[in-house]
Amino acid sequence: MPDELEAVRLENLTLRREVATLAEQLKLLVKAEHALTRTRRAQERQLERIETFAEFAFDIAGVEQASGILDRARLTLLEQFELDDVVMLGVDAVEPRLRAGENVVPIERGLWQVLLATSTPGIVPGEDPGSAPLLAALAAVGRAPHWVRTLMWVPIQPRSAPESTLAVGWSLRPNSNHRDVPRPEHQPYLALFGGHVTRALVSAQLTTELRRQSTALAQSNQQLKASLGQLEATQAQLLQAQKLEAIGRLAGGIAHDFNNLLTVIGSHAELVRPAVDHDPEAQEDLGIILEATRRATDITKRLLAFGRKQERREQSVDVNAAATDLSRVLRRLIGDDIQLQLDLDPGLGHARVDAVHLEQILMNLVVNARDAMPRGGRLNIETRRAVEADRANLVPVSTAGLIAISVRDTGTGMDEATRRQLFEPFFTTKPAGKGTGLGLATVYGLLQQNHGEVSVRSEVGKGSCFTVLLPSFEGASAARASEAPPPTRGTALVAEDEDLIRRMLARTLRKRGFEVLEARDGVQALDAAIARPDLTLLVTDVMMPELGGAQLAQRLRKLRPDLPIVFTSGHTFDQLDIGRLDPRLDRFLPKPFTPDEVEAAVTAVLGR
Amino acid sequence: MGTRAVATLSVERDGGQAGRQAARAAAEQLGGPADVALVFGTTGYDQRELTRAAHETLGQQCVIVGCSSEGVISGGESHEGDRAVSVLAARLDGAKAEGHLVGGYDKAPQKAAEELARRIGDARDVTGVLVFPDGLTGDCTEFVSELERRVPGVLIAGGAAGDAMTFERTYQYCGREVATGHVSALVLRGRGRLEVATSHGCTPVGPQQIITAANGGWLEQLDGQNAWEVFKSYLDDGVVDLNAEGIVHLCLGTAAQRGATRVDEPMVVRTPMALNRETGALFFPGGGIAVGQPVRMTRRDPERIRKTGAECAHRLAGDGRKTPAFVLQLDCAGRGKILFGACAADSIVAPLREQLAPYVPWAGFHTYGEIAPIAGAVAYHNYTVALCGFFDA
Repeated sequence: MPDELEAVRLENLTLRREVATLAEQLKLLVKAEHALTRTRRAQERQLERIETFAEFAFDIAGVEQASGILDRARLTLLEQFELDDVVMLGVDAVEPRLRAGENVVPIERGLWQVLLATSTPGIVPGEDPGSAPLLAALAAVGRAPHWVRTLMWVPIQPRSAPESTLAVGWSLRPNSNHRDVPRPEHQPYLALFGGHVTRALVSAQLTTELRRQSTALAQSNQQLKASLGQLEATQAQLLQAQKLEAIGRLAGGIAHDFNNLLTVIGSHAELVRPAVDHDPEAQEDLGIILEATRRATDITKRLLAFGRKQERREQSVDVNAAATDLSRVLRRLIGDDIQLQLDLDPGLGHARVDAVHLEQILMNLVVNARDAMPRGGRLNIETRRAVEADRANLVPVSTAGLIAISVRDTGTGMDEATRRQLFEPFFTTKPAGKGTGLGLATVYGLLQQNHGEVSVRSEVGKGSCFTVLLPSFEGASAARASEAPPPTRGTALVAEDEDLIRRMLARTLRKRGFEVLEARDGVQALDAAIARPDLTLLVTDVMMPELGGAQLAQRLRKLRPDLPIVFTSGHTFDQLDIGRLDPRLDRFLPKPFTPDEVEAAVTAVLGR
Repeated sequence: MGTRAVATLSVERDGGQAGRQAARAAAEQLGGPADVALVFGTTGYDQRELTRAAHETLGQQCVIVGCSSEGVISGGESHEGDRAVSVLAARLDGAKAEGHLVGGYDKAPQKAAEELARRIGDARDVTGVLVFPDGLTGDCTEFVSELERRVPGVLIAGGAAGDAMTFERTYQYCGREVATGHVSALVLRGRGRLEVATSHGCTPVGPQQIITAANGGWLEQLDGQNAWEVFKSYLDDGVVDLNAEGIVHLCLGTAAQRGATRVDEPMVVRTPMALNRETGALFFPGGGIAVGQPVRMTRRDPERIRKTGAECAHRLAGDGRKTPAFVLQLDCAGRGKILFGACAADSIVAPLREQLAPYVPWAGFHTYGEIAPIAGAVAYHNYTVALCGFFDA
């Protein structure tokens, strides 16, 4: 038994030793497990933090507002380090100033320099001397906590920014392995974090700048496109204007030559009429000649109008009054099946235009509208102050000081091809023999001559609207020429290089009782005038060889300042260099003219 | 009609806003005023603002009881962040709730228990008492023993208030009052009943040892050896303090039966929360550390935590035969994020909820000590889950 007891005791002892050994081994295992746990936990924390910062970096990458980036940075710091508060301090790069939100305060220069020089993040206990500048900065902006256990800061310093930022946060609680209150070993994360925020701010700056430049480029591109469009429109207008100008010049030249011939034909037919009073057949023939001459003269007048070679007398014209006066005639002209409506702006004022030209313009536009409404319709004449839209198809320049007159019909309208040729002389869409094709050409020419414009909007099947723009004549009142006084007799000098016209003039003046001296050019006329100090009248062509009518008049005026002069020409007054006419003594008589017109002009200059 | 309950959460940074938001959500989801609300908030908040906002929002008629915590549980979520508040609000059907805030717990826990028992008065219709004492002061073991003695037969459960693992200060809420060193309590009377199931997740790893020196919750010696040295021998080299890794790694197992000479299952797990580096003594705030008491070192076991937690919920559900009106989960602060990381709820909440209907309102907090019956007596535990279910019938 003792042996058995001993064996049991020994076995018990062995078992106890084995248990103790196992317990020790278990303890070692637990110890190893703890080591692993600590390592794993530390790695998990690092991973979590890195993930958080990576998420943060990704999150702020697309934020374009600096304030948005800084707000998110503040929240991330608050949550990652479980801080009690974080203040984003803006440190002015130029002046010793601090900003916290909207609050901007000046600070002592020394503190400012310390804050500017703070380029690395820090984590210190609240009582650490290193916390002093940051606490002072917080105090300066009124955000200092009463007490701080741990203070941390992260500098965020985008280069060339007007201010850098110091994120300053604090915790009132102690460090703990469980809580991620900032600890010195977190400093690398803060540096990483600060770098993310700084890069995000730089990126936001660049993006904003890029967007700004992109917007500016897009705007510039738009402007360029608009300019190009305007340029193309201007070019098209210019080409059209050049084309019309060339046609006008050609038409004007032809009309001028024809005028001379028509003057001769018409005048001589008139002169010969008394001689064939007894011969009815001859009288009828002369009548046909005179009628043909009149119609030819009418055509040349319109050609001259288109070529801006019609006589123009600038006046202040009450457009509303003119339109109202004319409407009576127009109503008869357009017939009963077209309803005419006037829509006149009562505060419109006067236009600077030749009154006769204005009537011609309106008349032609109304006739054109009437012809576009063969089955009747509505015709509207509207006056108003011009607006930008009135010149939509022209280069957009100011419409200030312009008067607009619109003639709108509900007729057939025009297509684009028709609109392009609209103002060309002899262009017509009417059947042969129904129109001369000079109506709108006349409008165009007269407006050119009166410094006006015309634009047209039209849609096939819906009608057309012609808008005339004329310069306004502020403050002026309409003026009408008064009638001439009765004729007077005396010695008249006729200077004209065209023999037939000179003869006609001489004959007309003689019939009126003048003694007539004839000269073929200016020099001859000058000599004759010097020889006859009793000269009472000079009738001179402006364009003559040797010495022109204007120079002749200038020289004679030195001898006879009160000599009445009638200037004649196949060109318009505007095209000639006569100088300023004396309204008491001078008249301009455009060719072609009739004997009566000659006599009227003479009467006018001698009557004063 | 039955009890209607809702669990809400807010993680707003401002205490007032958070309290108001969670309370408002609760009131809205209830569709009317609540009779009772349990409020648990983390200490990142101004506690007074938090409770005032919750009180104002829920109204005077609502009995509010709660405490500060290391983290909160709401629905399937666990928030151990700096700022989170959980509200479990209920409209009772035939039951009655009373809230009490009893002082003196920190200095004289037995007297506090006596006072609470006095306020409870006639306990015949009491269906359960939930207590939330200060988790850093007071001897909770003494408190619950005394309370159990004074209101025999009444189910007592609860959790000790915590802070952000800084072990500085905890708060107890009652109505709009906030206090420290107190115990707040919710007394349920009338219809319905409170049931509790508990489990720990530890495995004994060392031989049984005897406490040879202890003083007022401070464990000084085990088998004549310095307590910290014994503890440290199970920890990684270079550990100089009782940091959080140490807390979650190693616990002390004590006998569930008072006066037992051996430590076997079921056992009560205790965790030291402070170290006196000069003396090597370890502090167990719940008390219950006495000379001659047998103890064993235990290691935490994540797998066991999941498994026993699910079993615990299964028991509460009567093996799947019954469904509570609401569940209060009181889970150790050392078993959440500190052990399982950011997805702690997947391990400590989800497996439990799976055992019950997902629509059961579920709230709670991470405690500094769980209070629940074990082996026929109420005990103060650590590293445990105490799952409380309120049943209408």
